Amino acid sequence: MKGSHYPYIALVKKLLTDRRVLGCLAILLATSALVAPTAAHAGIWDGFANAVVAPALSIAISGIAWFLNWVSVVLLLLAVTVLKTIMAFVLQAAYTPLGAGPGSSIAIAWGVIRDFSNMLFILILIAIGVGTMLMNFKLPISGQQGVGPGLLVKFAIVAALINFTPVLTGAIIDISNILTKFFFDVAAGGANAFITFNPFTQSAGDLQNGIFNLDVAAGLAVQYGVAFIFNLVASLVLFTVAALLAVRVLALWLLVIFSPLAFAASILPQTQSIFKDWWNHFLQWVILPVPIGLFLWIAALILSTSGTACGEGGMYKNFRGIGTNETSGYGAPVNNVLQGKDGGTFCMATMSTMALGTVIAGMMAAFSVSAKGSGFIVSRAQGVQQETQKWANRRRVEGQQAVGRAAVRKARDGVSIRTPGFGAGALRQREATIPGIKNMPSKLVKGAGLPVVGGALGAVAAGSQLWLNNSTKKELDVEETRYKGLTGAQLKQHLQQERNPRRVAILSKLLGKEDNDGFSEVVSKNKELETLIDSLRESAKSNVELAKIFKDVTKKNIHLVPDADKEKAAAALSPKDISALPIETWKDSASVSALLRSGKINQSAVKDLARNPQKALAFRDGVLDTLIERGILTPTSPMPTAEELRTHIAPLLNPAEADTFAASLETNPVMQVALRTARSETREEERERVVDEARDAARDTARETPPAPPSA
Amino acid sequence: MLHISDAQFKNVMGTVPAALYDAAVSEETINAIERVVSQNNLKEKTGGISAVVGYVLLGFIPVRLIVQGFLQEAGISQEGALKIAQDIRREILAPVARDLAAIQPQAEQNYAALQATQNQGATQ
Repeated sequence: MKGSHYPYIALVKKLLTDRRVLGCLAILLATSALVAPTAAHAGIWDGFANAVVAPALSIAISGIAWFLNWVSVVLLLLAVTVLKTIMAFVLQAAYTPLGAGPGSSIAIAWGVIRDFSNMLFILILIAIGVGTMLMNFKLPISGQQGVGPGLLVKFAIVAALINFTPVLTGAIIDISNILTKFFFDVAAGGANAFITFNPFTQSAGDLQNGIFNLDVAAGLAVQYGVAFIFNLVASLVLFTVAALLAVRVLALWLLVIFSPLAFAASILPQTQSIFKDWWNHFLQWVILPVPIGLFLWIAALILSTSGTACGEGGMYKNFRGIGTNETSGYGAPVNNVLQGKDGGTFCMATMSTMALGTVIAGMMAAFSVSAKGSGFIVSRAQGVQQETQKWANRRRVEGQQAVGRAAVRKARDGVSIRTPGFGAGALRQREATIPGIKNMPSKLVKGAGLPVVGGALGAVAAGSQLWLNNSTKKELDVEETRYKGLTGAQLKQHLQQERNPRRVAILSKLLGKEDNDGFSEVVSKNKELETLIDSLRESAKSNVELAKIFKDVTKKNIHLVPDADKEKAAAALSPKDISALPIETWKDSASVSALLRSGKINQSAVKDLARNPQKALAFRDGVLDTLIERGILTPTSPMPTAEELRTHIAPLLNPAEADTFAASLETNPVMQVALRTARSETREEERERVVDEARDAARDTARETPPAPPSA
Repeated sequence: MLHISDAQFKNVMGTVPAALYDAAVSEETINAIERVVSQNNLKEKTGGISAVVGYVLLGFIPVRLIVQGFLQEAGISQEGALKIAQDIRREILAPVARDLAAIQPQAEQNYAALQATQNQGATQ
């Protein structure tokens, strides 16, 4: 029989030693244990599960959870200890060479930087000297334009201050540390409170109570899990606060060490930004621990009062006993989590979370307040500096005026006085004693330059205009002399070939042909119009109502304004006026030319033109006529392309506006269509007209030319 | 090249739907033209491209002839004209596609009239 059972025993042994089989068995057992409490699985299996599986799972779950919680508690304890140490260190650390002593690293480093800065002073002095020679830094003593201390004065002040930077920075740090100490003293228990009043620091004793009970173990596991997360977050926050405070010590050390360089940088205008950066950083790091201390103290308050507040008679007593009264089954672990041993776990946990949130808010506030606070201090300091400077300037000006008045008085009497000081007062006194101006009041001496300069500019402008007019006249005279001595037939021949409007006009004048191209008619009409407008203008001088009407009419009708005044009238137009200009103005080449020259046809004006097709066409006519009148185009030349138009119009415009104007024309579809419409019609019409004229002229010539004598 | 007289210009302008005229003078269209010519490195052809957009939006030529328009008015290559036409359709014409579709019969008539005038001029 034994021998017959042997294979089975061997098989069981083999199965029990196989890892895969054992793994499956374990999963089976675990699954069975989870479904075991149901009533459907009563019997032997229940007994096995209750006796073996449940205790084993309880031990495993609660053990792992307890271990994790223990690790987090240890971490929290470490964070609290580090924070307390750093808080003490922040208050006790020596930030300056004075506090650290002569042999300390900070003292040695600061000494080296100070010596280096002293070397830089030589370079700065040379820079001031060269700058003064090249007139980049005016008035090195009294400051630029008499405002603020000059570079030499600054140089002297900074050269002295540089040796006292430990005292200056130390005083500011001390003020901050006094405030910090006030809060740190009251918040000293804050860090400890995270341990003392922590509802999540379960001991191993709790584990003993429920180690063999699966319900209690589940509750403990949840509790430990929550505790693990809370403690981990709290540790991270406290470590961060500690790190921030530690970095502050290091930052202040470095800032103090480099303070001589920063002060030296404040001398030259080009390097003043370095000093400003240093100063802002310094203030930010100095202020940093004050809000942290304040918020730590508030957190400590919340934690220390949580026991009372969550107690039987506390303000949060209603939060006690949240959950059910079940002590077994699924209710038990829930109650364990929410109520704990004394029924106030939920309340305590809430208070602890709020305290942790306060510390996080404190960190954020520290960053914000230190940045804003330093900005506020800097701005206030600048305000005080400006006010002081204004006051000093007022006093100085009053003093100078008094000295100047005295100097002028004395100079009038021919007696010189000694000037009790430097600056403008002394300069004015010297001016007052210069022969020729000594009898002038000082204000007049100073202001006399402006009318002289204005007069000179006016003379230059008038001269330029005269030169321009003479040049134009000379040019016309030259054009006219070109045709002198020619016969009538030759002049007519020239007229037929000539396309330049100016030369056509000269030729017409020489021929006495007043009706050529209607040119003279236009000129005479224009003259009539000019005469009419002149008489209106004269009348408007004595009639207010007429003046108003005249102004309104000419404002909205540039084409009615004499050519000479068009540009001035165009320059006075607002964008609204431009958009209200009538079609006649846009057709008038002189008006368009004036508007172009005054830069009034900008992008928005082009858009306005595009919105009215008739105005767009009128503008096209105005532009083309302008170019024809200027001899850039002839009536028979093909319509310019966009690029040609850009080139042609550019001389009429301000160079800076030419591209914008051309681009606004090129990108506007309606304007492009309008301009291209001109291409076909103008060319055809003008071609027809020119052909007709040529035909007429040829007929006239044929009529005037005597027939050739018959040959022998 | 289109040869449009003043009278033809005024006639066509009088019949353009408001939506299309607004599109032709709008800031978006101008910006789109700038963008498209810049993307296609055809800045020197801006005037011609802009004119063709105007012709199409105002109904001087039907949309189907847009590529031909770019070839003739702007003087760009076939490939460039196709690319520009695609971009212009997407950026400018698509938002007013419905209004454009409505004026296409009129645009065909306008184009035929312009062609007839042009042919007549050439014959004379």
